[in-house]
Amino acid sequence: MEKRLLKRLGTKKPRFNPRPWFNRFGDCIVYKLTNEATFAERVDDVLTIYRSLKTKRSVGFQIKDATALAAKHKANMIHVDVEGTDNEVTRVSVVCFLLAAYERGKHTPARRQAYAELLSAPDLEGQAPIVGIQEAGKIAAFA
Amino acid sequence: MFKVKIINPNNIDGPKVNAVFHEDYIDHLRDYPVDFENLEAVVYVLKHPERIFRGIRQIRKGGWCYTGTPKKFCVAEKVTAPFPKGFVLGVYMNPNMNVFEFRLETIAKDDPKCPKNWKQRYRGLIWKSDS
Repeated sequence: MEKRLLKRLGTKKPRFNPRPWFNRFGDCIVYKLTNEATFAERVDDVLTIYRSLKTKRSVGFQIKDATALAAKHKANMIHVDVEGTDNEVTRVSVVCFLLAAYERGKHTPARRQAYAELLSAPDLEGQAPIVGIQEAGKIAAFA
Repeated sequence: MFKVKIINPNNIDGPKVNAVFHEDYIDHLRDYPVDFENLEAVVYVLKHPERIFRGIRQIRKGGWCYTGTPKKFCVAEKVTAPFPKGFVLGVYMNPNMNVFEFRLETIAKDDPKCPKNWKQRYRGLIWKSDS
């Protein structure tokens, strides 16, 4: 049955295209940089790191409660890589989300190390991948 | 979207309910062919769970996690291997039964069918398989 499902879904072929994604069903931001099997390493209530199953290297992350973070830290985010209108921020730097997530918890060495590892990842350092949050208003499932 | 009939986490002995994979989520998975391929393993876990947990977020209420161990797992593009030892596959749903994530989780020391730190992470274990 599982095979049949995939066959049915396979009309549009998958193609590796890494990009941050705002997942409105889970109110989280997901960003994976590689196309490989990963395992999850939960850092705290907000951040989960995805590590390569093969190399154990960090290759992505998930930030939970994205809309709450966006609302709380909007003022701090506006000066960095934000797109939107006067009234609504629609796209925010993923780096800002990471910083906001870090600020929300205790500043322990373990957390600091995990966040620093992500922020210095080659695909994030010096860049600001952005993610759309225009769907935020539609999130009701977790409310 | 597609739907999979699963144990009703709100009424374990009642009729099965649908887990829903929304098209947005499937489109996201299409950006990662390995993850897309593993939808097969995800559906297996939903249909053959070993543990079901309620309350998956610290702040927001609700949500479900079904865990299991499929026989095979896609580890790289067009490379399938036996399911990796030391892990379970966790499939996450919001309170509306929309599947929004799946991931390999390191197993707990006290129960190898559960993800590590499950007692702290979830609000409760509501069902476990007999096997």
